[in-house]
Amino acid sequence: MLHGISASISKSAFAALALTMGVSGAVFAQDWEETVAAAAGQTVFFNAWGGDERINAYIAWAGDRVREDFGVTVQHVKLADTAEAVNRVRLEQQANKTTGGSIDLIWINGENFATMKSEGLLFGPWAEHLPAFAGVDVEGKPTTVLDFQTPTEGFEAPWGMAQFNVIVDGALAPDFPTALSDLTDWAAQNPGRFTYPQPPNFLGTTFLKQATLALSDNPNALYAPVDVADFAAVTAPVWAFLDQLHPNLWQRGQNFPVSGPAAQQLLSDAETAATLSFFPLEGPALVAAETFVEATVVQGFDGGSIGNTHFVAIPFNSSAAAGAQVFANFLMTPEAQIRKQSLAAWGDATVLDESRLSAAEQSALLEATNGLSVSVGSVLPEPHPSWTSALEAAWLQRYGS
Amino acid sequence: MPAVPLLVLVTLPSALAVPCLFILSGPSAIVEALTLPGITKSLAVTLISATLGTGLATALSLALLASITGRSSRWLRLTMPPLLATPHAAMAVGLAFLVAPSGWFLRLISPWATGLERPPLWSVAQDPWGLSLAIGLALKELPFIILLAISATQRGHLEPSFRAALSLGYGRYTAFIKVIAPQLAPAMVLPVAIAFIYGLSAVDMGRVLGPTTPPPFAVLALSKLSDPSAQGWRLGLALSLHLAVITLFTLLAFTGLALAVRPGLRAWASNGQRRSVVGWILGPLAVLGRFAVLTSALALAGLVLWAFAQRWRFPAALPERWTGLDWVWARGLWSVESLNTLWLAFASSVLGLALALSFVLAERQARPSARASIGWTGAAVLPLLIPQMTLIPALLLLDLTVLGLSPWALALWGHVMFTAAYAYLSLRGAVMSLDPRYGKAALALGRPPWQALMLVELPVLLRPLMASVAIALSVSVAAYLPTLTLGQGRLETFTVEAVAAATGGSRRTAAQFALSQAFWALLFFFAALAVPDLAHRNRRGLAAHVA
Repeated sequence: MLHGISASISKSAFAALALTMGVSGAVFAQDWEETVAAAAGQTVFFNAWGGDERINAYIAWAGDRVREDFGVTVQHVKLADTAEAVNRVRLEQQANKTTGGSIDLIWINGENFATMKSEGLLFGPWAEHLPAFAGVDVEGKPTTVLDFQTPTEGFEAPWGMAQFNVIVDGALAPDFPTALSDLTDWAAQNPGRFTYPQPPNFLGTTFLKQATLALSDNPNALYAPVDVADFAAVTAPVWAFLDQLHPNLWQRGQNFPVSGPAAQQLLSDAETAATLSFFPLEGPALVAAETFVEATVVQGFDGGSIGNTHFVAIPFNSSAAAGAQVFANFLMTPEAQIRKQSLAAWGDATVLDESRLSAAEQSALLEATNGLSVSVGSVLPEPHPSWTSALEAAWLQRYGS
Repeated sequence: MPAVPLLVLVTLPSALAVPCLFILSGPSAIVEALTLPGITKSLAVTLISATLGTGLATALSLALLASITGRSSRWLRLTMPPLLATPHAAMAVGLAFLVAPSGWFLRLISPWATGLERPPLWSVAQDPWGLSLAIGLALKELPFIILLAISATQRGHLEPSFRAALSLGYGRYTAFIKVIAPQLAPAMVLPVAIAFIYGLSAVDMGRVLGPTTPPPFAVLALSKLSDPSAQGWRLGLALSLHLAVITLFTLLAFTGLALAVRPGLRAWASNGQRRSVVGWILGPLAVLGRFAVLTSALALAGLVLWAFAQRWRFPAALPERWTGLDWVWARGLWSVESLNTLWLAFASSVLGLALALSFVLAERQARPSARASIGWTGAAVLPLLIPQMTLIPALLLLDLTVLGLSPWALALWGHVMFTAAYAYLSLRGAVMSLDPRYGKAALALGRPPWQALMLVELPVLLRPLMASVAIALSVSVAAYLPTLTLGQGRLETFTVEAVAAATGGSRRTAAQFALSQAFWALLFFFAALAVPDLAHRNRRGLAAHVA
């Protein structure tokens, strides 16, 4: 199975793969059978952010499918914040609970992954041994193996592709700008009609990163650890921008919605005219669900929009690591990925290489998204994870008190 | 000896919470927590909203009680249980929907009266000083204080003295505040204190109605507890610890204040004047109290509509498209959440009641002095005197480091701590004031003590027993932090889902879970209250004697 993709992957990735493959390619196939056998009857506690009904419904569907096919039961533990799971695993590590942990699989990326990997809280490497990983587009979608500048090294399996975008009510705001530098003028003419979720909510934090990349004189500094940069100088234009923007935001910038869905509710109530999203198909999907009006449009940012990959990872003390791998493998299969990308389900873009799907699968994928694009222009890579908490802390210091 | 189980299962772990947090957060985090950006304002928001909210709830409760004393109060008795059974988070979502710029009040009069096609820019919810949070807390604590006060009024001989005061020429409100309130006060101090402490650590309401820059103290602590870095997490523990200390000091301050003004109040109450300024104020307050109850009822009605709304945009007064009825089963009555809610509620109520009853019987046996009885009561309600934000993480740490219980057992234990405390609270008065001659008669007729208790005394106490079961059940059904944190995310109950949806911002999902939750809580409430009526249908004297 692995030979088929060797032509399409880059030389360095190929070298890495060939190394692992050459040593033990046959062993993996046998290992996988053992993994599947061990997984039967296991219950996987999947800790994943539970604030979105449509994502919850998708996870429930995927859980039903692996119960049918592999006898693996998936229980979705709905988190308010992924860091809750990180903290629990750390607590279990401190209490020397090296087996029988309470978490088997975590929906994760970025800073949380970097933290868990560096503190030795993860099981692995395992992800690149899964059969379905062979279909992942590691060359065309390099973030599937490079999570916010942290190499995944098989400690997490790619699940979906995200790209930052704006959902605009075209009737209320036909002229919503695509350049962030124009946003202050637009907000001055339309006071109270825009806001962003409060950092450290990931949408709010990504808005800060997007603004820093777009407005800073030295955006390249964001791709190295924050310690080596002159943080004040790099971020100065962002704070000037926000100082000007905030008085014209919803509730004059004195309060911010707590989450993406809370901000969506504001758009749906027509209190605001635009909201931020990480899934370019989320806007159309919510039009289909009659949450947003027909005139809704989705747009990216001039100069590119931040894109990343979200993953699933297994804690070091998982009590059902085999079941978790079987579930993670199913999540990467064409069946699960096509459904995930469909507007009727979630609208989250696939991590697979579409050109290597069968003709039937390709047309199913096109049909699932109604022919709409999963991209809003060029992709900006995520900054180094250390910028996340630095930007959040600086924001809280300035506007959070 | 019968007091031991409660002391071990409820009092001891509560007492361990503070030292446990002290050790785990460490001195550096404890100091650093005090330098977090916005910490002073966050504390101010918390103190203002809890003090104002509890003060307002107490004042409105007194005014409402004054306006109904000696009159029919059917409407109040019927509206209080549903409002008490509605979870805090759901009530917050309902209230926010009423008063938001795109809220129901404005939708009902837009655009025909206001000319508004789009929501206006002003906002009253989430004000920077926590005033809207205070109002939310007041509306939610009102039924709690009133219900506990009503059960106190029925026990005593309040009505004759009220009539005597009226016939001596006192105005209704002055008579109430000078004659009835002093007799109610001992029974109301504890509920008011508990409401105040709840307000200090309210996470669910604070997240919906409180400001965000900075948020209330407990919300800040919870957000730090969910920081991925180890240092951020220790800061969260340290903030929980500070919250416990702040709670202790504010309680001491209020106790001191109460002791200082008591002689003055006594002199004022017995100065013989038939009319008073307080009486003048209570009248309008009683009207305001009715308005408050109406507002809560409207918030509930808005939730019911949202539970069935598919699309409902400003300025439509009613939903434009409706959902199907399928959710009523799928995420309502026939769901995992339903099952978990039910077994936790039943198991924790039965255990909590058993602990509370054996404890209060031991207390009666010991015949404590007035001062010693403060110790007894304090031991039983200790979990309510410590902010949940402090108690619950400490219990989880205790389990992870020492006990190693399963999440189910740990969550049940956490629930029992609260059901036992509330059961004690609602049971103590009835048990302590039970006429001792019932038991003595049984003993004199040659029955052993256990038979005197089981066959004579407990049947007489059936009504207060069932009332405390009802309260324990609804406490368990509404418990958020114990279920979420101690269940380690593995126990999905209606409260957990409703709060997740409410803070996630989905009004429809929050409303659906909240309604399912309120359904069970209400059913328990009315079922538990109906049992004594059925059992005592041929014993009119019992119905009148203890209730």
